[in-house]
Amino acid sequence: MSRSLARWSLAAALVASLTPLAALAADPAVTCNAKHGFKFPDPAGDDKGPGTYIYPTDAVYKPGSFDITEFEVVPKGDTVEFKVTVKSRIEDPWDSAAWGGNGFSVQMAFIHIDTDHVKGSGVRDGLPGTNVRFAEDEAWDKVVIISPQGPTRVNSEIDSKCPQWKDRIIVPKLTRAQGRTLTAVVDTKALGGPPQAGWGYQVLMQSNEGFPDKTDLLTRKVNEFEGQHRFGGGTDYDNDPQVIDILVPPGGDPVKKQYELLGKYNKAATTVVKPEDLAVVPMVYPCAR
Amino acid sequence: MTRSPLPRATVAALLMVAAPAARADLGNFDLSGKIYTKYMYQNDNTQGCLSMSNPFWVDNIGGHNGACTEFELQIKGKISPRVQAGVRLQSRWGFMWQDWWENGDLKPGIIDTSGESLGMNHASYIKLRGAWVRMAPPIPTVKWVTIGSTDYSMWNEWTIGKARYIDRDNGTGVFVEGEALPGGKLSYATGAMALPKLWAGPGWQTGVSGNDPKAALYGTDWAFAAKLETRPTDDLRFKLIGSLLQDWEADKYSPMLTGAPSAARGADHSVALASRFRGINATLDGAWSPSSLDWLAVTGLVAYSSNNVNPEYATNMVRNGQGFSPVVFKTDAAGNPVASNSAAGKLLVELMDPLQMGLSAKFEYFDIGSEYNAVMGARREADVLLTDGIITGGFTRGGQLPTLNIANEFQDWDEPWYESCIGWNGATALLEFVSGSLKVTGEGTIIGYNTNAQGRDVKNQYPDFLYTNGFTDTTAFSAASDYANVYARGKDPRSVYAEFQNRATYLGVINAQYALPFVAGATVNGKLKYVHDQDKRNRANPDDNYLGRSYLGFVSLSLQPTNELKTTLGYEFTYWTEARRVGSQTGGYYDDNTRRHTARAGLTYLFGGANLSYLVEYFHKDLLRDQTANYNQVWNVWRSKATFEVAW
Amino acid sequence: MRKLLPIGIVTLAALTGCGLESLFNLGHQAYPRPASKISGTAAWQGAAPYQFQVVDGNGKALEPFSLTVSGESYLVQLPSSNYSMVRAQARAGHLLLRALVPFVGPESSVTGVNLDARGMTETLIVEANLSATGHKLALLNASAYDDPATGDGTRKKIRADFDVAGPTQDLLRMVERIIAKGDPLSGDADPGFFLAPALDAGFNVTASPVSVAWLVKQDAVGNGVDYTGDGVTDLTTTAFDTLLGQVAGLYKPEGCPDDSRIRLVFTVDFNQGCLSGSCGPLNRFLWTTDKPGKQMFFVGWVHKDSDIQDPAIGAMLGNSVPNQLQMYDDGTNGDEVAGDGVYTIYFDVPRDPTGVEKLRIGYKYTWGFKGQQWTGSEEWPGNSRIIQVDDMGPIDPITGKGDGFVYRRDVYQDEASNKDLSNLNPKGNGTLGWDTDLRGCGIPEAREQMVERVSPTDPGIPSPGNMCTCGTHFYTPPNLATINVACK
Repeated sequence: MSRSLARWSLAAALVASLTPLAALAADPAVTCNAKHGFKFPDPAGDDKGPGTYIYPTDAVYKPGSFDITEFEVVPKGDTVEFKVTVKSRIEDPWDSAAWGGNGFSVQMAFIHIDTDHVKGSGVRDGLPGTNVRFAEDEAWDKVVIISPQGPTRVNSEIDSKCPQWKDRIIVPKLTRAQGRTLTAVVDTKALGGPPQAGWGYQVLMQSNEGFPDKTDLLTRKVNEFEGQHRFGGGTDYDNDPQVIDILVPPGGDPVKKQYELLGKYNKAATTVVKPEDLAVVPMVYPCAR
Repeated sequence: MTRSPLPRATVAALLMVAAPAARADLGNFDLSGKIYTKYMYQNDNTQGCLSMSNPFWVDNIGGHNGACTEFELQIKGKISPRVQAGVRLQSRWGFMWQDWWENGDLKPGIIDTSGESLGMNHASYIKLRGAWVRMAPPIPTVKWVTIGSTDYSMWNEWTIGKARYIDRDNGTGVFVEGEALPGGKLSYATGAMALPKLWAGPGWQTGVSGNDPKAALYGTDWAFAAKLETRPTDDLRFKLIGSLLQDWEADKYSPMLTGAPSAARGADHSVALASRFRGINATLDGAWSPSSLDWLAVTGLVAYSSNNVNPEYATNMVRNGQGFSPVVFKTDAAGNPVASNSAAGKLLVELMDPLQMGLSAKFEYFDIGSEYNAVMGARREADVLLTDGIITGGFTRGGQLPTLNIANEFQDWDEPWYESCIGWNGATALLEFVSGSLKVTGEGTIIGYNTNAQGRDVKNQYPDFLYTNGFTDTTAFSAASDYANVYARGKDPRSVYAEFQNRATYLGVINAQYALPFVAGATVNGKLKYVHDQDKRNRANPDDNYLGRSYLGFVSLSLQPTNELKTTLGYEFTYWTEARRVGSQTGGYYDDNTRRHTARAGLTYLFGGANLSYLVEYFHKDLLRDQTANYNQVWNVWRSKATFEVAW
Repeated sequence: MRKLLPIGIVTLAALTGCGLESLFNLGHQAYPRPASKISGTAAWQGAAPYQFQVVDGNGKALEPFSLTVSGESYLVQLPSSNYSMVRAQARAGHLLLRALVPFVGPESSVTGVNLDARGMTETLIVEANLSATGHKLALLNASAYDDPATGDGTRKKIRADFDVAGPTQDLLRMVERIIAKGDPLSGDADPGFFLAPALDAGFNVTASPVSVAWLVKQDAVGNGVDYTGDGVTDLTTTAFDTLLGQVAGLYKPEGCPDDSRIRLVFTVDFNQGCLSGSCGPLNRFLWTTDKPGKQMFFVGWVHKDSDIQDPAIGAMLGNSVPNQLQMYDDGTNGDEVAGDGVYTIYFDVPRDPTGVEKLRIGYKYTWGFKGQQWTGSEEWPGNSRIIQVDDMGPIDPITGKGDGFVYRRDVYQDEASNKDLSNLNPKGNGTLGWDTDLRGCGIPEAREQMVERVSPTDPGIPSPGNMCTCGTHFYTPPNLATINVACK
C-alpha cells in the first residue's frame, strides 16, 4: 500500500471509530442542572432573521456562521461560561491576532440576561445597532458581549455608543472560539452573582463589523439587498431587526415563531423610527418552574 | 470592509432642507475618513516609516526612524436601490513629518514603482485607489454585477487569492455573481480581472519593457475565473473554482512590426498576440458537517495547476536572475519549453469536543505537488495549512501558501511572515483542550517533500531563490541593499527547490493560554516549539548533510488595567543549532548556532474612537559560525513602533 | 438550460471588453521569424547541420538562427537583412566546399545554392581572380556579378562556359574528379580540398586550393587521385593550379563602373559628446525621447529645388515618412564598425554623367520606433538637412573623376551645419542656401564634406565627432564598393 493511501485510510478509520461517541454526545432536550446551568437548543436553518435575511456575498460568511444551534450556561464558581454554538465551524479569515482579537472574525453575539423578570426593571431597548426591543417584564439587566474584538475596542465602542448602560454591559474576561462554539468566561461577580433559576436569557446573533456606523455597537447592517459585507432581505432603514438568529421559548414550531416575532416591526416607519416600531424579542427562562 | 450609509435621520434632514436637484444628491454621498500615523524608531541609521519597502528598487521611504501620516477618504453613494458606487482616495505613503514641505527625489528617465521617477515619493499626493460600481440588474439568476475594484476575495488561495491589505482596492475587473438554482443549491461567480502588470507573471511583471526587454504589452492581459458552489444538502457543500491567467505580448514577427506595411508581406494593420505566460489553476473543495454529528467536520480539497511560460517573450530569471523567479521555466529533454503541471490535495478532519470535556482534535493530511503554483494565489495574509509551519515563531506569526509569488515586503518588523508550501507532503495532528480559563493546544507535524530531487536543474528551470537551507530569521531582514537577511542568510521563504534535496521536517508545538484569576483582564500565553529539519542534500556526498534544530520558548502577559488600556509584555528565546548550514558542494559546508533573546512590551489605548498602540522591542542575537568559514556576529537592536488612528 | 443561457449571455456581455476578445489569439500560430534564406544540396551523403556555414565576403562566419539539414538538402536562415557576396560553405571530411550567393535580401529566399562541383568551381574562379587583382569579395557589387534584372554578369559567363569545351569546362572536370575522391567521413584534421587559393598579380597560384599532402596520402592508401583524367595518378597540384590561374584571368567578377549612378552614403554619429557645426555641445534628446528599443532611422525626399525629379528616388529615400528606413550599426550594409554609435545607410542614386543636372535631397535622422510619428523621434521639429549630390572627392589625379561616393558624416541633432532654416551657426544668417559656405571651408555646406582622419594610415573617422572643423580629406568608405554593373 502506498504511503498516501495508508494515510487516507487512517483518517477514514479514525472517523469511523469515533462515530459511536456521537450517540452519547447529542441530546436535544433542555437540561438544567443544580447550579442553574443549562443547554438550550435552537433549530438549525433559521439563520434568516424574520425569514427573509440573506448572508453577505463575501466568501468569509460561510453558510451557518450565524445559525445558533445551542446556547449553554456553565456556572463554575467564580466564573460563568457562556457558550454559543453555531452550525458551521468558526474560522478566523480576518486574522484576529493582527488586531488583538479573540481567535475568530465574523460572529458576534449579545447575551441578554433578565435577572428579575419584573415589570419596570431593566432596559427594554436593544443595544445600538440591533434594532429590537424587549417586553416590559422581560427587560434585560445585564448583557454579555461575545465579540472577536479585544476588550479595549469593545469598551471604547460602549463608551461612545451607549455609555448609559456601561455598568450593565459585561465584556468577558476571556473570549474564544473552539470548533463551532464561542465561549465567554465572565466573572460571577460581574453578573451580580451566580445564575439563578428564574433568570431569562436571549442571544442575539450578529456579525462583527470593525467599521460600524456611528450609532451601531460593532454590528453589521441588514439592507434590502445583500452586499459583499451586508446582510440583505431587510430594509434600508433602521426599523428592521438587525439580528440573524435568536432563541425562542419552547412550544410550537421554533422557526416559525422566530420569523413571526422578528417580522413584527413597523414596515412603514422608515425615516423616523420609534422604539414601538421595533420587533420585540422574548426572553427564554430555561430553568424557571 | 464597506461602510454603511449616513444615518437615516440625517438623510431625511438633508432632504427636507435641500433644494430639489443638487441637495437630493448630497444624501447619496456617504463620506468617511481616516487618519493613520505611524512612528518608528530603531538604533540604526535608516530613516523612514516602513521596515521593508520596495524589494525591486531600493527607494528611500524604507527605514526605521521617522513619523509618517496618511489620510484616507471613502465616498460611497447609492444611485438607486439596485445600484451602488464608491471610491477610495488615499494619500500615498512616504511623507515624513521631518519632510516639512519636500515633494521627493527626481530620477529622470527611469520608470519604476518607487515613485521617485516622478519626484513624488515624499509628496503624499492623494491617489485614487479604488472605484467600483455594484448593481443588481433584473436579469434572471444574476444577483450582482460589480465593475471596478475588489480584493479578489471571491476565489481562494489556490487559484486567485485575496489581495494583500495594502492592495485591497487595486484588483479591478468585472464580476458577475448569481444563483442558478435557489436555496444555495447552485450559485456561481465569474470574473474578468485586469492582470496586475507588476507581479502576476514571469519576472514579476506582464509586459513592462523596462523590466524585461522581451515584453512590452500589458494592456491586453487579463485573468479570468469562475466559481460554482452547491449545497446539495445542509450538511454538504462543494465549490469548484477555475482560473486562467493570460499574459499576451505582440507576436514580434507580425508583418506590421517587421517591415513595410505592404500587403504582399501579409501586413494588414493588425498585430497578432503571442502568449508570454498562461496559468491555469482549479480547485474542487468540499465540506461535510453532518447535523447528526455536530462535533464532526470534514473538509477536503483537490487542486490542479498548469504554468506555461514562453521564453521567447519572458526572460528566464532562473538563468539570468540568480534563481529569483515566481514561475518555473520548464523544458523537456530537448530543451523545448513545456508546461509545468501539478496537483495538490488536502483533507482535514475536525473533532470538536466529541466527548464534551473540552478536548478537540484536528487531523490534516496534505500533499502538494512539486510544481503546484498559484501565480495569482494569495501572496500573504492567508494560510492554507493547519500547521504552525517552520517560519512561525513566538512573536512572529505566519502561514503557508501554495505559491512562489509570496510577498513578504512592504511591511514592518512586527508583521507576519509567510512561506511557500509547494511540494509539502505530510500530516498534522492537533489536540486542543479547553477548560475554563485554560486553553492548551499541542501539534505534531511531519513534512516530507515532493520536491526532493538529485541534480535538479536550478540553473535554468527551477528557481531556488539563491538560499535553500537554514532557518530564516525574519526579524532581521532589511531591504537596504538586498532584499534578505543579508547578514545571516537562511532559506528564502519562497525557496522550495534545490539542486540536491533529500529533506524531511518534524515539528512539535505546545501553546497555552490562561486567564489569570483575581487579576482583571490578565492573560498569560506560552509557547514551546521544536523543529527538526534535516536535508541530506546530495546522496553521493556524506559531508553535506544538513541538520537544523530549532528550539523556541515564548511567554507573554497581557493586562487590562483600565477599560481603555491594554498592556502586554513578552519574551521569546530561540536557539538554532544547524549543522552544515552554509557552504557549497565543492567548498564544503559549515555549522551555525544562533541564540536570540527577544523582549517586547506594548500597549494599546482606545478612547472616543481614537486608537493608539505602542510596541517596543529589544533583541539580542548571537550568531556563532564556524570560524574557518566566517566570523561571528552579534545583534543588539532596540526598536519601536507606534500607531495612532482615528476614523470618522 | 434555460437558466444557464442568460448566465452565459450576461457573463459574455459583462466580460466583453475585458480581454475576452484577446483569447481568440489562443489558436494563433506564431509568425515565423523573418529570414533571409539560403538553401541547396550537398554533394555527399549523410550531411549534418554542424557541417554547414555561411561566411561573408571577408570570410567571417554569419550567425544563422536556424540551420536544418534533411537528406542532402540544407536550409540556412539568417536574420532578415541584405546579404551581398556571401558564400555557403560546408566541411565534410576531406571536402571543404563553397558556393557563392551574390545576393539575398530581407524576407527572401535563394535556392539552388548547391555545394557541388559547379558551385565550387565558380567560387574558385572568383576567389582566384580577386586574389590576383586585389579586389575584395565583400566589396563586389552583387548586381555587377549577377544582375537580377537581366541575368547578365560574370556568373552567367562562367556557367555558360561550364557547358562548352574549353579551359573552364576542363577545370570543372578536374574539380569533379577531385570531389569524387574525397571521403566525407574522413577524420583528418585538415581538409584535402578546396582551400582558399592565393595568386599573384600574374595570375600564378602561390597557394593551391588542393592539398598536396592529401594527394600523396590518397595515393598511399591506394586511392590515388587522377584529377587531370589522363590515367596517371597526380601527386602535385601543378596542373590544377596552372589551369586555375588561366581560367581566373578570363573573367571580371567586379564588373564595370556605372557612371549613371553614384553611391550616396549617410552616416550619423549618435555618441554623447559630439559637437555641433559651431563647436558647441549637443543634447541628443532635446527633441527626442530616449526609450529602450528605439533605433536610428533615415528619412529623405527629393528636394523641390532638385533638377532631377524622380518619384522612384523619393520612394527609395523614404518619401518623407519618418521611422521607416532603418540605419545600421552592426557592421553590415555599409556600416564600418559594429556598435560604435555611428549609423550608416547608403543609396544608389542616379546622376547626370555630364554633371549639369543636379540631384538635391532633403533629409533628417530620427531616433524612434518603427512607424513612429515625428514627435519624440526627430532631431528637431520642422526644417531639414539638405545635400546636393556632387562627388566632391577624393579625385583621381589621372582620370580626374571622383571616387564614386558621396559620403556625408553628420552629427545627430546638429542644427549648425546643413540645416536649411533656423540654422544656429553664428557664422550664418539662419538660412542655408545650396551654395552657402557656412564654415568657410571652401566647400558649400550642402555638399559632401571632408572629414578628419584618425591617423594617416588608418582611414577611420574619430568619434564622437563634430561638424565644426573643416576636415582633412574626402572619404572613400573602406567597406563599400563603387557601383559597378555587369560588363557588356
